[in-house]
Amino acid sequence: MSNDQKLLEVEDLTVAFGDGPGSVRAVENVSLSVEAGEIYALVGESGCGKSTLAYSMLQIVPPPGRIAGGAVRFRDRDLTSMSKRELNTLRGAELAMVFQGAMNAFNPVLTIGTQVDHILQAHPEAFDDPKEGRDYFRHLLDLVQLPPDRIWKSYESQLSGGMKQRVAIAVALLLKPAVVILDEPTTALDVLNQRLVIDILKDLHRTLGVTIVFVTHDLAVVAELATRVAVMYAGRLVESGTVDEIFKADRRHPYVEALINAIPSVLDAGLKVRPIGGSVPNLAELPAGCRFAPRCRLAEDHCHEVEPPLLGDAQGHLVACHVVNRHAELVEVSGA
Amino acid sequence: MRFLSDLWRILRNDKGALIGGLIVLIYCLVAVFGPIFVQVGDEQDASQAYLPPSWEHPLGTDSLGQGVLEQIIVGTRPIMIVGVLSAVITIVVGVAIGLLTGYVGGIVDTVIMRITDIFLTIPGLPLIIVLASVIHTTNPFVLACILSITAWAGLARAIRSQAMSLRSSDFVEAAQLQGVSLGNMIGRQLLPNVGPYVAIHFLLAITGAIYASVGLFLLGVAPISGNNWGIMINLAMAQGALYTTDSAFYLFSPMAAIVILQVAFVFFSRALDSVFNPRLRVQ
Amino acid sequence: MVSYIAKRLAMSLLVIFVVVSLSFFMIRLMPGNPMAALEAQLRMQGGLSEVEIQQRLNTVYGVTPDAPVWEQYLQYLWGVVRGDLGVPITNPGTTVVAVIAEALPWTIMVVAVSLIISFLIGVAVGAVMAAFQNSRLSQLMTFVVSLLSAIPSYLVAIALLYFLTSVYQVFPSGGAYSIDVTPGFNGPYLLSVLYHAFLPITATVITSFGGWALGMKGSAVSVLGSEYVRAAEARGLSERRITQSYVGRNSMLPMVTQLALSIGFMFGGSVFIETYFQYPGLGFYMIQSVGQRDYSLMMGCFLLITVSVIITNLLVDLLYPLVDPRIASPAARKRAPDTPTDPDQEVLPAGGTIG
Repeated sequence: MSNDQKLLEVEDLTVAFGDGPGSVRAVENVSLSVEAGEIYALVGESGCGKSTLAYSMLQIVPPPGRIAGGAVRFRDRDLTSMSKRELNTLRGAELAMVFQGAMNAFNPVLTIGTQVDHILQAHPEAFDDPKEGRDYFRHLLDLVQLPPDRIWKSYESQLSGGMKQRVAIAVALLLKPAVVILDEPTTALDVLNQRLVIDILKDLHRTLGVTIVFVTHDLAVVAELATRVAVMYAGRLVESGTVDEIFKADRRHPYVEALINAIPSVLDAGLKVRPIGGSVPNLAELPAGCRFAPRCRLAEDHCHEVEPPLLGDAQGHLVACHVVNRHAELVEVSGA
Repeated sequence: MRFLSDLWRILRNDKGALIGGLIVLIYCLVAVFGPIFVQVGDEQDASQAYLPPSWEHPLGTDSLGQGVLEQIIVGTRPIMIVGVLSAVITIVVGVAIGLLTGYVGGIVDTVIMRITDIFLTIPGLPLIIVLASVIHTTNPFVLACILSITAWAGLARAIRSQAMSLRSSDFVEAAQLQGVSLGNMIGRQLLPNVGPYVAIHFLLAITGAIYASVGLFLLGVAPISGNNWGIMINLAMAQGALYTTDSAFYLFSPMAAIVILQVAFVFFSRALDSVFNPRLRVQ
Repeated sequence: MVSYIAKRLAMSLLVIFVVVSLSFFMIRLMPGNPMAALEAQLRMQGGLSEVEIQQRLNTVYGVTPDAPVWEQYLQYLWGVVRGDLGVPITNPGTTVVAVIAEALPWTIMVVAVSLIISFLIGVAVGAVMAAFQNSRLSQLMTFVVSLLSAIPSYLVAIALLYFLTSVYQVFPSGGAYSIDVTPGFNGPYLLSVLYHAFLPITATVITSFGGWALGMKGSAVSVLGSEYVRAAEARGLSERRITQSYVGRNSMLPMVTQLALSIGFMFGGSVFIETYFQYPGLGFYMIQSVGQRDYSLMMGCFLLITVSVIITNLLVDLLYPLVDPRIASPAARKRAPDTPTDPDQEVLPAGGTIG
């Protein structure tokens, strides 16, 4: 993994909500890097911080959240120290975001077309003239299987959820960004639309070569779409590696293993559901030691005392677990 | 009850709401118990007019030598009675109509909504003045009805939209399948769900009613009888209190009483709003 | 769009009709009704023949007392349509219409100016409160604004009267303009008008800008927190563009609705303001006529106040499609929600819904 291939880097990032003693760290000391051309999945349960992490990649964490430590680098430029002006040039043009559900991603009193025009006006360097931009947008609408003319003149209230999601994807790709970040792209959709969106994303990745980062809690989507995966639990990164490693490797974080086992298999006679006992810890009252320990079947005394470091093997498969990492040739990853 | 503990927590944080609530409570107590302990003397002695505050009359005297504070205390009850009564009428009518028409829908809804719109459009205060002047009454109930004549319409509208959105929820469907009566549906299924909104609106309705009733008395539209703050101000103005500074206490005390009460209500209702609407608590 | 206007128009006419019928009902059919009272009074006065009494009643109230009720009703309606609202009992030399025609412009002026100023100040204050949401400044402003909006306007009027016209005689205590000035488009006149209108307008503005501020704050806060604003940020739109077309425009929508609500409230409040400041508008005459039991004038004033409210509401309704295109274009209307807005967002004036 040479440095010039790392497109987006998160370095020891901490995002906190609130001030003083009551503050909660939604993301704590997380480091990861996304290479060009990858489809990178951020996985975890609700509240684990994955969405917050995604927002911080564009520096749009909503207040009272704020970056409390670490950095986010895009092509080696530190986003956390940039001015609003500089960020605005990057946003949309190099880094784009598709929000969860896209239910309210569009201004209800302006047509889609007007809002696209606003984007084109905010980034005049993207196209030689506005017409070119509009034509390209129409082309993108075709790619996401929507009728260009009709969409251009519509208000968001006239579109169904699935349509809005696809329009949002087209809008995100308008300025030909290097990275598109999608927050739960399939969660709010019915099964048919989910299929459609997954296929569209695969298509777009192939034809446009855009790097995709998506946040989800649905492991099935991860299996289908992602090339690399990062799993978060209670604000921390607990495992990261390729899709194969996450699903099949011997050395895996117990949480990840439990997640995968929790998916009932159609082949299983009786369709037994094996949920993970217990519940996600309250971020304001974290247990000492490993955050997953209270629910972990492998937990030992040591686990309840010391937080496990993120350790990786030669292929770069990182796991943060005392028990699983024992007896393996591993290297500590900085900033864990 | 969770509601009470929530409320207590909000009140502890929002000083304004806490003080507001306390003040409202005090006024209620004064309204109920005041006239038992305090009476306005019968003797009217013009030579004692506009005396400055003293131990005997902490807020001075009016133009007839009668204590101002006593009059204010005694005057609390009629104001509160009319205010609460009017608010109750507004709420009862508004909620009943809103729930009924929102749930039943169809032609009933259309007709009732048109009627509601009419009441919503006619300016309330002028109508109240006209009605009050034509119907000379000292009966607090009739007065309360007059005061509510347009107030219910806004509430009915809001409740209706809530009823309409509740109509499609699961528990309503379940109740329908059970074949509950219309009365049961409205009273036991829908009503508790609009409770919070109604509670807040109740307080606002009281402030509105006080505003209007005091206004009526001030203008001399409602018959002058008994002691209440609006009448006090009216008499004060009529007796030329504007033109001397001695009468300041007489003129401003009832005004202050009204303002303090209204402000207290508004601040207290903000706390209730926070309890029922956690989104607002961020402030 | 046309159907939208047509519906509003039809509704307005319906309300006017109801109010006119209401006034007839009150004058004629209620127990102890004014017309019967006048009749009795005229009889007691003596010296008038039966015919003359009937004629008097006819002039004042526009109906023949002896005719059957429905006929009287039609007579009354016809009279109203022709612009005949009868004659003031206390001033038979002129007509009700003449009196209220002269009074109307003053009321309109005070209400309109107060509304505009309260709106501007309120929206600006509200926007500031929303922009600096959690700061000390915003909390302080919220407190002050809530306080002011809870105070009844007539009390502010009395206080202003006391301090500024009596104790310190800075402003005149009555009238629309000084007697020594000739009406017309001249400097002294306009100045005098302003001078006399200052206190009524101030009293109204002080108590009503708060409602606007709080409404704007609530609306702006919810818009600021909405996803499409963040999405716009994520797309690199400039702050100016976002403030204008994304935050500003969407925050204003509920304000237009509030405008409609406030108009009724302001006309109602003007009754008090005009009475205390002796300002010769509709409200002033209405209260005067109440005191003098001059019911024909009273109903005339009431009718015109109502009509003014209705017309201004209609104008505001016409404004709405301009701001919210979903109402205007039929295509957009197809999917736009037909139910009234979210009750959480419905803004009520602090004085409750009376007025």
